[in-house]
Formats: sequence, structure tokens, C-alpha cells
Amino acid sequence: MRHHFNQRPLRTVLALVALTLASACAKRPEHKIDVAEPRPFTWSKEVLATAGEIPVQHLGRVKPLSTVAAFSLLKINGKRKYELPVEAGVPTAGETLDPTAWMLDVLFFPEQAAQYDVFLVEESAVLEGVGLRFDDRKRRDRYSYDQLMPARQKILAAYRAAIAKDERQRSPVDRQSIDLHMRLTEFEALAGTMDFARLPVPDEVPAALRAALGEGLFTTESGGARMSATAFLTHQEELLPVFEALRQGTQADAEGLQQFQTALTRGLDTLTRTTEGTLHFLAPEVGHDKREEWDAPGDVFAGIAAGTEPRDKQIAALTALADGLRQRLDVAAVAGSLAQVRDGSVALAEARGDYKMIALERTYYRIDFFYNALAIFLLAFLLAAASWAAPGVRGLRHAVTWTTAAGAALVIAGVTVRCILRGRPPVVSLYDTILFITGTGVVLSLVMGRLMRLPLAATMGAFLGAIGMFMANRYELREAATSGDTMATVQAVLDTNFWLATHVTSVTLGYSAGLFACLLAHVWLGARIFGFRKGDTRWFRQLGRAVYGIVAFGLLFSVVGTILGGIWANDSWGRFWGWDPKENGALMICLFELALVHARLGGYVKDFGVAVGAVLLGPVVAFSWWHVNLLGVGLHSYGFTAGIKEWLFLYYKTELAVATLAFVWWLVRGRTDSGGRGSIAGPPASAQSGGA
Amino acid sequence: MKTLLSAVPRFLGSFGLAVALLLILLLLTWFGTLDQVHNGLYDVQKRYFESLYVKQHIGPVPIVLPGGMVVMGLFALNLLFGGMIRIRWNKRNAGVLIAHFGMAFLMIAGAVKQLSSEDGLMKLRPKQVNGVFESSVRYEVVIWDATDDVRMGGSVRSPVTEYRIDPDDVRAASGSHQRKFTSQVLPFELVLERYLANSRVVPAAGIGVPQNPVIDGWTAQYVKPPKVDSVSIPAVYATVLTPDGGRKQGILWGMERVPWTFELGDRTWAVTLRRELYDLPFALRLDEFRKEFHPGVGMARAFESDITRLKREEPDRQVLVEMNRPLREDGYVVYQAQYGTDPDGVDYTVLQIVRNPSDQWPKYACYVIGVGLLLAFGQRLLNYLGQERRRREREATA
Amino acid sequence: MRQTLHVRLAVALGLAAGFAAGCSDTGPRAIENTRIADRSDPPVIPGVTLAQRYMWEPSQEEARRAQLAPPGAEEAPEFVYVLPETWEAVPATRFRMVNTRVMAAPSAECYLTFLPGDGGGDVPNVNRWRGEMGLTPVDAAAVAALPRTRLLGQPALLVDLEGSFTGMSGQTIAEARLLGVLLTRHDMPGALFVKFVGPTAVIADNVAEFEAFVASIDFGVPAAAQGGAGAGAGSGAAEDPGTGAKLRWQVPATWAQEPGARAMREVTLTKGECELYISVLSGGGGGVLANVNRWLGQFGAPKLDVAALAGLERAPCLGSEALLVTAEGSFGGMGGGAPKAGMGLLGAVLEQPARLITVKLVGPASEVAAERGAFLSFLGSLDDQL
Repeated sequence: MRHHFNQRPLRTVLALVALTLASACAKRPEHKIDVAEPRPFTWSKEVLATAGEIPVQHLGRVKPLSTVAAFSLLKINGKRKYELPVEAGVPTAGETLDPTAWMLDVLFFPEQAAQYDVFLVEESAVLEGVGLRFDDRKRRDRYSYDQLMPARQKILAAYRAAIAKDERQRSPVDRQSIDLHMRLTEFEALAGTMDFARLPVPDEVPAALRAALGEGLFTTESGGARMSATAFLTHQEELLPVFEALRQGTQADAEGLQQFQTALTRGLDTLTRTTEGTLHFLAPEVGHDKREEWDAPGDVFAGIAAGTEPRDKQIAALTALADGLRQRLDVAAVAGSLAQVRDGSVALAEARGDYKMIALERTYYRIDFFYNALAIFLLAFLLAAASWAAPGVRGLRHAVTWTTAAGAALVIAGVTVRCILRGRPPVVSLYDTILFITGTGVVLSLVMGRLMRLPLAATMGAFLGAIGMFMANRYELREAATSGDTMATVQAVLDTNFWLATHVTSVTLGYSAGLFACLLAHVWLGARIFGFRKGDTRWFRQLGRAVYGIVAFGLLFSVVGTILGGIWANDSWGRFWGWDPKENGALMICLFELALVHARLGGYVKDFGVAVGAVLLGPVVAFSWWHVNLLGVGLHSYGFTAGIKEWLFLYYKTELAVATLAFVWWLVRGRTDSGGRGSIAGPPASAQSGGA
Repeated sequence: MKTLLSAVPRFLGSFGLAVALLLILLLLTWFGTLDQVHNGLYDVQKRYFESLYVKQHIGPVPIVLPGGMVVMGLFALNLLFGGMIRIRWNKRNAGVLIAHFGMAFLMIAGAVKQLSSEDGLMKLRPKQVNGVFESSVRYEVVIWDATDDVRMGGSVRSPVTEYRIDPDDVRAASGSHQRKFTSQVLPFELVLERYLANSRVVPAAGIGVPQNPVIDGWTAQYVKPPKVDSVSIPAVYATVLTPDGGRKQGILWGMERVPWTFELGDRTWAVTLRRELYDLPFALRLDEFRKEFHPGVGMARAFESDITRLKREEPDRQVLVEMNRPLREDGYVVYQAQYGTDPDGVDYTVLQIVRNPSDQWPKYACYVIGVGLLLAFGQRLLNYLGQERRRREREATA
Repeated sequence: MRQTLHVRLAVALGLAAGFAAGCSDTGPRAIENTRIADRSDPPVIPGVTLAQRYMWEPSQEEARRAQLAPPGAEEAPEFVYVLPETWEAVPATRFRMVNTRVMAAPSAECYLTFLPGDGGGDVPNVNRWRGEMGLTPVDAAAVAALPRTRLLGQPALLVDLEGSFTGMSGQTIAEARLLGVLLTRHDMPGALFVKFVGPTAVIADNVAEFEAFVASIDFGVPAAAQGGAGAGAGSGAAEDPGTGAKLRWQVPATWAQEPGARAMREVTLTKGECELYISVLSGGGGGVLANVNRWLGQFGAPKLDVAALAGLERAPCLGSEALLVTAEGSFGGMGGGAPKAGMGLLGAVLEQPARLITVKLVGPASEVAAERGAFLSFLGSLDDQL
């Protein structure tokens, strides 16, 4: 669990920062949880491990339930945990729920889970728009399902109105309405997974039926009597004669039986009609070649009705799950039920060879590569700061390098595991590009630092790493909200490891180099303008060459990557170049880098000019990397990125301001500065002859 | 004069021109990308990349830039003069030279593709044999003698000689331009005018003042083209001038179900506007089409067609065509493009067929450029590292 | 060196001049390009009206769609539905398989369109609707994020647009709302669109009716097989699945009725290795075609299309005609067990309002063939009168 810091010492770095920030905020008002049957026990580690291992087919991929739970909670809550308030008034008040624990509550204790404040609302105006007011809440706050429930229809209406608008014309409130509705739907669908175990039946179950079936089949939750559909299936031999007797009209309480049967039929009908969004955790009992879609409980019932396939193992798993729900106050019973479900589901999956990657995926999320990498990069950065404060301590510089290298190793390991999990090259989705760019950028910085004897490069690498990992963590949230996974399925055109490995990798390497050059250029300009290292001509020249060298490195990969993209397009769409936005973005990087290189060769700019140019290269890369996906046109728009636009524009403005300021400084002071253009100029242009 | 003649190539080959052109092309690309939010790709290409000049507003400030054609033409000259001729041919510049030659080769490939390529779609049902494919954006005007068809009460299966007018000439008959076409074989002249890039033909009654002439109670209306170019349906007004000075008029529409027919003497002639057809030197037969979906998600994972190529109606070769794996034969490339289902439940495949002599050239250009750049930058890096090492050694000894 | 440069420059300028001259040519052109075709394309059909030539049919919008719906679209399946009380049906057209409007406000129309294939896909169709409402197109992600409803038991996109509506035939509604349901799936024989468009206020008052209407849409048996089951004519014809009329039957002489009952079966009869049973699927059970093809799939037999379905043999049942399906092959069925070879199926399927009755005889192929007479008499003995 996340609050055990001793398990992850590096997290303390982050935690300390977070704590300082948190103490500044007001404490949120208490919230009591009021349910008839609160969960009387905490989910033990063993139960969570068992449940987490249940394989689920989700969005076209088989993954552990823990992954599904994590992305669902992330999508709903904006973070991967929920803390039950100490004042909640339930036996387990004060506990911290991890995603799987939350998921188990949604499945087994939905009334309680419906009172958890997990529904993130970024802007309270969204709630006011649907007639909800909470005076004691902040503008950005979390609410429980029950609190939002009264306005459910209005939220749906607001969502429909918002989704009908053009993406570019949606207001922030519109976007929030969409998010809120999607969050509520996610919760409703997940909770609906267990509907099969609680078919609504009339409160007054006819005496004849109770006598025939025994009381064990019926439960009473808040909201009326329930009966498990599996109970119905397993007790049909007893049930149907009763109905048959009813047909003959001999039963005393014929009307009650009729009502009961109607309710049951309706319940089964609803159950089999809606399985979207529920958990599909039961692989078919037939071979893999027959049918790839896994079944949710509703599908199993529809399948039973259709009578097409063997379903005994699926029914056994469902019966176990229903039994667990019926005895949900007994921790041992629930644990036993989950173990049975897990075993059944795993056996079904293994029979088809669908279970191979589950263990690795569990490990991948347990190690949490990128979150830890963020902590390590921050640590490296702190060490660097310390080394500036105490320049005499020689070990610190090495520590910076080695810590940065450790962070890079973690990123590379994480990316490698992702490759194995998907059986694909490193870069498939926009999320992958963040990881890959960060990883290669940091490696580039380390190599650069080693080759050019520039210890600063490692610090810059750590900085880049921290920013990259921060972005990855932020963007993961968005992926959770839109794709429900960071390893989502791909369109047919992307189903080619060769081109993903060559074109996508080269172009992404080009991005990486461009951004790193941009970062180094900031350092160069900053030092120049603010007078650090004054007079250290060699340092400036080295760093200037580094910037230029990385631009050249980036140019190589951008050009080759862009042309490879054309060749791929020629093989899949029948044209080499189509002026598609993503193609244009890559071309713009090539053109800008070419212009920079030729300007330098022609002697129009020297180190200062290259640095200013490299600063502007950042926005060009950002445009290609992110902005073209926001345009919503073209064949490549595979990332859903609304809301990122504001950040992009902020970034453009910042870089433009930096470049302008630097230029103005150069006009005013730089040309006459003693350490100016003349003394730090690069080698003269000599690649070309003077005349014909 | 002499100085001018030497100054021109010097200017054309200069670094300054290279930088300026690269930056202008960068701007054009940027504008052309942003403009795609509002306009169709076809329009954007014509406006920014296949133009002589571009008028653009940056905020309220209007600017004029040279168009893509001009920039790329100058760029080719710049590359030729500066990057290939005037540059010193020595070991030091070997990488750069190679890269520049690769770049030139890439530009030639682009020009060849621009000038001589056929590009279209072919729909195939299982077991169907077809040797013709049709363009999805280019519409041609075709004239033929339909006397037999009419006499038999409908189309008959017999060879027909089609007289074809090139799509570029048809399109040129737009705005105030007229185009007149003659033939020694045809007993009439054909005038095309009022070409509309996207249109519908509607009854003139009840639509107010028609934009275009009314012929037999019908008129063609311009409709703003959709963003997907391939669904535009053009129309053009056709006038037939007979030798006796007579005139016959008809509206040709890109999706018309039957051609426009008129009688002249004892013959009936048909004229139509249709997607340009191309004949393949071989025929294709679909043996089987398969598609696969990601489980539980409506997203296609793969689709592919088993195709047999036939030459003179004899099976010649069997191939599999799938996404990212086209068939390359006799200068033609056959791609898996789309698929669909006919009303009888049979899946059909849609193949894209392209004839492009420069099809594979970009690949070779890419290798050349990659090698060149690697050589150029690798050489510089090694030089630099060598210098550094020597410098450090000097420092150490000193 | 300088000399060659000058020559090249001159050549380049000459080429440019020639190119410019070529572009400005506007005189008469000779038609030189000919091609031998094996028939007229498009075909010459005497007597075709201009309306037909320009495909000017009920609305131009649908005529435009015709390029997606090649001739033969008439073979689309029949649909049954329950008409809301305040709506009225108007004659179907080629592109409106089901055509209705609001009685009090005839400009509010609701109709169902069926196109073979995927009808062009979700995104273009959603954007086509958006275009009619004067809205800008959206991308695939926005379409994927649309809410879902159910149509024919399948998840379908729900589109709710407000704007100013311009139909392709020119009719306009200034403040309009469009509710649309769009179902394009690879496992369906075609794409299905239900579109309800009219003045905002009228649509807002009819949302519930629209939802009920959409929910009631189902595949019908082809008209010939329908035997007056009342396709689409109904007002409140759907019966509650739970209270649907009970079934009675007569057990054939040599067969035995199993005591008790099994999951989702009304009754099971047995004889030797053969099993004969009735299932009643409420709410249409996914439609006739889906069920028939599922059965065929169990025997590894090829699937049928709508046309083939209409051509199936029929047998009298419950005052109407049931479609008969036969298959032979290896059969796995439910309940575990390895698939057995040499099995046969004789099945009957009958669609009634809001329910689907299936009768299946499964067993060794030779025995199934022998029991055909018993099966048909059993089928004829079914009775749902009270």
C-alpha cells in the first residue's frame, strides 16, 4: 500500500514536498458514511493479491484486475488511492484503499463505495450548472456518487449537450461535464458487474417458492429483495415445476408467483442486454480460435439462453462470486469466493494461452518504474544543487551522474517491460513517446557529458528526466480517462513492428535531440546573459558545440525518420507525401534544423545565434509532437489531447519570450560585451568555396 | 552582363538563399497545417504547396509569400548550384555531398510522381476478376457512340470506343473559362464550361434565382466541398456544336446514373462525366478476403486479401495483399485500402492501385541521405573528439 | 565551369518559359485519347428520366448516399417496431425503411435507414449529421466518446445535436434538434441509422417516444413469412415479455417429456440420443438471422444472409409460418462434452411481437432425419391461446 513509505524510501522525497504543500491547505470537512451493512473488515494483502490477479479482458487486451482497477480509479479520482475519512463512522474508517480494494468495495459493497468521495470535479461550476450546490466544498473537490446522484439526469443532459459541440468550441465546463459523466458511467458499469447476483424480485416472495427453494437464495439489501441469477440457474429443477404448477392454475398465490416470474424474466433480460463496461473476466470455454471475446456475467447468461457453448466453468465461477456476495460480511467467505473466481478465471485463460503476461504486468505496476524514476531524477537534481552550493565536494558531481544514470536505467527497464508486454517496439502511443523521449534524452545527456567532459549535461539530463516523468504521470491520467490504459490496442495501419521500430523510433529520437538541444541552449544563454562563468570561453565554446552537435544529431534522425515515414505511408496509403499534419510537423523540424545548420555554415549565426535558434527549436518540436494531434484532422490524429493546448501555448510564449529577450540583449550588450560574439564564435564557415 | 551571369548562379547557390527558402517553406508548411483545420486537404495543397504565391494574414497583418511551387523550384536550383556544383568536392564534404545528392534524388522522385502517376481504387468481390481501376478524385468526360445500345433497348456487351477528355482539361473549364474539344472522328465539337468542383443537379423550380443555366428544367448548384475530397461530385455544362450550326446542351454530373445522350443524323451519342478509369496490363481476381477485429472493441486489427494476378485470362501468380504489405507488379502497386459488405452479406475488398515509376525511389534516397548525414556528422564528431584528446594530452604534459 | 553554368541557366529559363506558354493555351483541343471498353459505362438505358439520371429521389441527401449503397439495397431486411401513439407512419421510401413523423408537427420526422456494409463508418456519418445541423465535423476520438444506447440489442452511438437543420433537399428548420442512433458493426449485415429531426421543442417533447421507438425496433421475418404478424402497423402491439402468452404443445407419441426443465428452455423432449426443445427468447433474442446463424455456426455450416434466410423452407406454426433450418456436422453444444461428428439439426424459428420462439431437434443426423415428421407435427401442435 502506498502509505508504507518504508517500502519505497525514495518516495519520501516526494512525500516531504507534498506534505509541505498539503499543510497549507485547509482541512476538508468531515463526511460520514451511512450504510446498513458497512464492510466490517479491511481487505487483507492476500485477498487483494488474489483479486488483483484475476485476468480481465478490457479494451481488447487481457490484463490483471489490478490494472483495470488502477485505471478506473485514476480516471474517476485523478489519483490511485482513496482514504476513508477517520470520521466516516464505519468499522474501517481511516484506512487507505488501493485501487483493487476500491474495486472490491464497488463490487461487494456498492452502497458504501457510492458514498466515497472519489468523483473528481475540477470546477464546481459544473455542479452548479446541474443544480447542485455544496457550500463547504472547494472549487476543485471530490464528491461521492450518492451526492451527485440527484442530478444524474441533468449531468447526462449536460454531457450530451457538450459532446454534441465541436471539440474546439467546448468550454472548460463542457469538458468537465463530459469527464464527470464518463466517471459516473464507469462506476455504474463496474458495479453492474455484480447485477447477476442480485436480480430484483418482489419483496413478498411467495411462500410456496420460499418453501421450495429455501431462504438461502434470497438476500435483502437496501432497496428490496434480491436473488442471485446463478441461484436461479442452479435451482431451476425446483423452480420450474413451481412455475409449471402456476400455469395449471392450481397454486394458491398464483399472482405472486406470476409477479415473481415476471421480475425474474425482466431481470435476466436486462442482465443479458447490457454488458458494456462491466468486467469481462471469463474466457470462453472453447479454444482460442473459436472466439476471442471474453464474457462478462451478462454474456454468460445470454450464452446460456442461446445454448451454444459449454459454460460449466464459467457458471461455477459466477456461482462462487454470487456466494461471496451473499456472505459478504464474512471475510473468510469473500476471500474463499475470490480465490475460486481467480482460479476459475485463470484456468479458463490459461487454457487459451491468454494468461502469459499477467504476472509480468503485475510486476510492472508493482515496481512503478516511472514514478520512482521521477523521484530519482529529483534526487539527482537536489544533489546537483548541493554540488553548486558546495563546489569543493568532488563526490557530489559523480553522485549526480550516477543517480541520473540510475533514473535512466529505470526508465529504460520500464520501457523494455512495456515492449515485452505488448510484443511491440518501444513507441506506439503518445504516452510511449514521453517515456522514450525522456529515456533517450537522459542517455544523450550522459553520453554528451562523458564525451565533452561537461558535468553540467548530467544535471540537465536529470532535469529533463524529472520533467519527462512528471509529464508521463500527468498524461497517464489523461490516457486513463480516454483510453483506459497506456497499452491500448492499435489500428490496423499501426500493426507493423517494422515501421514502428524504424520510422517512429527515429522521429521520436529526433524530437528527443531537439528538446535536449533546446534545454542546453537555455543554459548557454542564461549563463551568457546573467554573467555566470564569465570569461570561461572554453566552457561556452564546449556548450555551444554541444548544442550544435545535438541539433545535427537530431537532424540526422529527423530527416531519416521523416523519409521513412513517407516510405511507410507509400506502403500503406499509397502515397509518399500527403501534407498530413503529422508529416508536416516532422518536416518542420527538419526544415528548421536544416536552416539552423546552414545559417551556421554560412556564417550568418555563431554560437549565440545557434543557441537562440535551438531555443526556438523547442516550440517547433512541441508543435509536431503535441499540437498537430490537437488539430483533429489528418490520418495521424491518434492522441486525444484536449486541455493540453493551454500548456502548449504557455510553452510557445515562454520560448518566444526567451528568444526575444536574448536577441534584445544581444543587440544592446552582447555585441560589445567582452565575452561576446567574437571571442566565442565557432569555427569559421569553410564547407563551401568562395566562388565558382 | 558577365557579372550578372556569374552573380545569378552565386546567388542561387548561396547559403543565404538556402536559409531563406528553408524558413519560407517552414512557414508555408506551418500555415498549410493550421489551415487544414478549416479547409480540405486538396484546397490546402493547391493554395500553399502547388501555388506561385500565397497571401496570408498574421493576425491583422497581410503578408505575401512565394508559393510552394516557386520555393521548391528555387530550392532545387539552390541544392544543385550550392550543394552539388559549387561545393568543394573533397573528403571533408563527402558526407554532405552524398546527402545532397540523396535529397536531389528525392525531389526528382517527387517530380516524377507529380507528373506521371495513376491512382485509384478497385472493388473486388470474391471470385470476381477485374482489370480496371478508377480514380477517386479525378473526373473525365467521355464520349462514345451508343447507337447500338439504344437500338437494343439498353446497354449491350460489345466493344465501345471511348473518346476521353483529360480531367485536367475538364477542370480547366471552370469560372469564366470555356474549353472547346474537337476530333476528326466525331461529327461535332464539344464545349465544356461552368465546371463545379462539388455540386448537385436539382429541379430549377422553387429554388429562387439559379446560379447556373437551366437546361430542360434542371440546373447545377455549387455545394461547398466536404473536407474529404473523394466525396466531392463535380458537374460541368456541355454544349455540342453540330456541323449545321445547331447546338445541344446538357448538364453532366459526376454521379449520373446514365450518360447524356443526343441524336445526330442516324447515330445516338453518349457523353458522361465519370471518375477516370485506368486499364491495368493484367487483371486481378479476389480469392479470399479476411478481416480481424480487436476482441470486444470495434477497431480493426487487420484485413487482407488473397489475390491472383491473371495475364491474358490465365492465372499467373498468387499473392497476399494486406495493410502495410502491397503488391508491386509491372510498375503498379496494389494496396489493401478498405473493405465493405454487399447487401447479400458478401464482404468485398477495396484495393488501391497506383502507377508510379518513382515508387521505390524515396527508399533509396533515404538510404543515401542517411549514409551521407551519418558520414558528415560522424566525421565532424570524430574530428572534434580527436582534437579534444590531443588538447587534453597537451594540457596534461604542460 | 562558368560557361556550363550559363548554359544550364539558359536551359532552365527556356524550360520555364515553355512551361508558362503551355499553361496559357486556351484554343480548341483535339481529343486524342481513346480507350476500348467492353460496354457502356455508365450504361445507356433509354427512357430514363432526368430525375433518375441525376438520382433525384426523395431527398438528395439519400441520393448522395446511393454511391455507398449500390443497386440491390432493396434487399435490406424488414424491420418491426412499435409506433408511439402520437406519431404516424408514412410510406417507406427506398432509403427510409421505416418512415414516421410526429402527428402534431409533421416537420419532425423520424426514420430508419439501412445501408449494406458499414455505410461509410461512424465518423463520416456522425459528421454528415453534424453538417446538416450546421455544425463543424468532429474527430474519431469525439465520436468514440459519444454516449451509447442499444439498437437491436447492440450498443449503438447516440447523437444529440442542436443547430439549424438544412436537409439536402433544401428544407430548413432554424432551431432544430437531431437525435440519431447509429449502428455500424462488422458482424451486422449492414449499417442502421435512426434519425429523428425537427424543431427543438417538438423533439424535446418526444424524447421518451423516440427512446421507446428505438428500443422497439427489431428485425422482422421477411414479409412473405410473416403471416400477418403485423409488422410496424401496430400501436402498442408489443407484449410484455414476462406476460407473453403461454405455450402449450402435444408430445409426439414416441417421445418423452423430461420432468422439470432446463435453463432457458420451455420444455425438453427426448428420444434415444435425440433432444427436442423449445426456447422463448424475449425481446427478439437478437433477431432471426442471428439465431439461425448461431445454430449453423454450432455445426460449422456456412452462415446465411438475409436473402438466403428469406429462401428457407417454412412450416405452419402458431397461426403463422416458422422458418426451418437444417444442418449436419459435428456439434459441441452446451454442457461440456467434446464435439460429436455426424450430428444433425432440424430447427424452427418464429418471430412474434417482442419474442422469438425457437424449436430445435438435435441428435445423430440419421435419427434427426427420421424424426422430421414428428418434429413438424410437434411444431404444428404448439398453441398459445389461453
